[in-house]
Amino acid sequence: MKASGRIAAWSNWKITCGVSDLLKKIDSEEELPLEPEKPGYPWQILEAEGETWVIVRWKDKVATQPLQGLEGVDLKSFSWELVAEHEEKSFYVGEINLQINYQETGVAQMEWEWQEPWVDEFIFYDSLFTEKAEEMSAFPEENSGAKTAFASLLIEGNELKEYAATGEAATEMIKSYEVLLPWRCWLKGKGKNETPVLKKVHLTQVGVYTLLLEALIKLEKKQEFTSTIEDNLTTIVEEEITYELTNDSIFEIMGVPVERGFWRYRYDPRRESLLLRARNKTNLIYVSAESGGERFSIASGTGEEEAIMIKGVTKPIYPVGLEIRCEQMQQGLVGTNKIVYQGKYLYCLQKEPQQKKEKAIVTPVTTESEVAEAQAVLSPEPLKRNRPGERWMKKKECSDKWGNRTIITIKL
Amino acid sequence: MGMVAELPERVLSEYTLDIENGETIKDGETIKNCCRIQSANGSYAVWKYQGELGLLQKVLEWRERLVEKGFTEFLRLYKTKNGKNMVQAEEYGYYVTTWPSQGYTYFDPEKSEQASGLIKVVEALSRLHTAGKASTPPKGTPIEYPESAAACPESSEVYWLKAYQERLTDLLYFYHYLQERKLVNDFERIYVENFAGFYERGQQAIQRMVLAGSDSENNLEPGFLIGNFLPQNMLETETGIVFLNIANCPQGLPIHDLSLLMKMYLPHRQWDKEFALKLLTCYQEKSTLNNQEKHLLLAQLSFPARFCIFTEKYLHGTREVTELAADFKKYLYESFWQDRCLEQLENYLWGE
Repeated sequence: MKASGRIAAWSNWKITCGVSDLLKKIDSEEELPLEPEKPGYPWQILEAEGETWVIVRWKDKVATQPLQGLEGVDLKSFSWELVAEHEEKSFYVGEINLQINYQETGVAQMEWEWQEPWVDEFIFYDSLFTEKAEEMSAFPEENSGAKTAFASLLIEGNELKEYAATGEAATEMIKSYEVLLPWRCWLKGKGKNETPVLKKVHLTQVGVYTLLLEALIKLEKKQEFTSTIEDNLTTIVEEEITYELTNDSIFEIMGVPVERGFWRYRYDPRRESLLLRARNKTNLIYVSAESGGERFSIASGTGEEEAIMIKGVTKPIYPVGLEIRCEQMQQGLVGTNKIVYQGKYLYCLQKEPQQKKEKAIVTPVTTESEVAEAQAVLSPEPLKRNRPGERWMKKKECSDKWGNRTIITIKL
Repeated sequence: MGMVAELPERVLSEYTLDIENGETIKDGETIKNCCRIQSANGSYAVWKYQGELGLLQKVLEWRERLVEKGFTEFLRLYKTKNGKNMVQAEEYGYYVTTWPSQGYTYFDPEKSEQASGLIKVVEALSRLHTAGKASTPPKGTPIEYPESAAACPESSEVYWLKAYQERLTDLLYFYHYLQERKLVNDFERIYVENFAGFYERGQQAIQRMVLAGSDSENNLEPGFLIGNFLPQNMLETETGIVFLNIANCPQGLPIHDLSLLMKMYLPHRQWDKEFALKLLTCYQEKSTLNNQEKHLLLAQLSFPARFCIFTEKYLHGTREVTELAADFKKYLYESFWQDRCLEQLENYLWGE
């Protein structure tokens, strides 16, 4: 697919037609765009296969006087509970309790001096009597960002200071504010659930009186696969893609989970191979280099991709399922907004369905009633079919004002 | 020679001026709309006006009447050979006034700590407003507005209210625009943080203006206003203050002039309560404020005008974002002092 640049072409015709089980996707020449999502409050969640990222956010006017500095963040608690588990999904509920410490200065102590404030007051007054030169719909350009003058703290989750109650009240200058951030999310995929991890915390001033707090949590499954590389229907696919983040710059990449769906299978008899086509959504979770506002961010881009299964596919059998296993994954940051992504995947096809249902049907029965019940379920009574002429025979038996009839068959 | 060379020949030929020298001066609103001329008979100023010429004619007549009554707050009009106040050339109107030969300085708000210049301006306004109130046109006289203003408003009061409300509505649009996007700089962050407070302040001011208009007992008729208190538009002389360009003067109640003057110069003095009271006391020595004027004064003083201007500058990109954000912060700090000052003025005006 040219537009999204996410259809993988194959580098060599010989390789694709040969018997090699190693297929390498050609590097995409285009840089695939990733568009940042608008930061969500009070949470923003990315649920991909085998990993979930939760960003919990809180923003409030905490100060009654202008904020003057940030003193730190203390972790009071980070707890969670696995409240529900379905086939391949787990639902978590948790909360983070943080205490933020900051400084205020009385507004009366703030120094301010104007250079000719009368000019702006006059301009406003004059504008009441003149037509506006330009409509206010002339909104600012998208990239009107400027360096912030506000303070901020970016702290690694494992470096967060544990809160210790000292019994001392906050001083006149240093104030404290306790923030409770509840969160809920699904973690989907096969495998064993790992412990949720508080990866990072970000605290920043976003106004004269307002603070913004963000916490980034990762939930992960240690993926387990039934298929192995030795299985017949497994193909190795390698890919190298360059993504370009638009309208933002990256300080640190946290993860690049890719979601795939809407599979279409097609058999190519000439090559004796199975072609897989899918839609995908590449997600980038990152720490923005732009300070002053929300820094934990999710960007995404959608595309389409195609893979070819060769090894073991000699018959046009429609597969039951596909398991994609990531063997190796690396990503690197080039400049501030380009990401080079390298991945090695095992595409494992499942040929036959599991026999769970059959087993259920042949459950052994003991009593007569159970046998009858089972028969009723397993072999319902076939519909009764009339014998030829039976209908007429029945009618003949009935009273009839015409009396007996003679049926004459004329054979031509 | 500045504008002199650009003046249509017809304009100068209408006057008996023997031009020796000409120089363009700023009047604070537009550059090159005034030309100072030195002639054998003295100094003059040629003023260029763009707008409704009928309105200009009325303004010139109004100020001429005041000058004839002995008011020294305006420059004397110099008439054409045919005794006309102005000359029309193309779509412009030109008029000539005398210019003081010596003994004047431009108004400087930072010159003296006692701010004697500002007191002089208030005294001049008080004198003019007293005279204006005595000669207001009969009730119901239709008001004319500049062509550029909204077309034929029903009344001066409605015109002012609509103008203020439009500015607030513009702010609301921008706020909704920002709500849909990620905030990208400190200006936007401070805007969103403080929008609700400023918007409410603006709405309360407008409500108070409506309340002022509902006081039918004291309802004054609007007249011409000075409307320009920029330092370069005022000359400070030994006898008082001279207002230069008043051709663009809007119409409204005299209190609009006082509230504009106070709003322009009180921030510079950190909303000094005592000084604000001094100005009001000085004004009321000649012209006592009625209830309608008190409400209007307090409403206009509290309207967040510079919040509107910062936003407009941001949207049009006429000032650096970091500078605007810094100004915005200062404006928030200033509001603290402004509120305290307005509280004191409120108590003073209502005798509490």
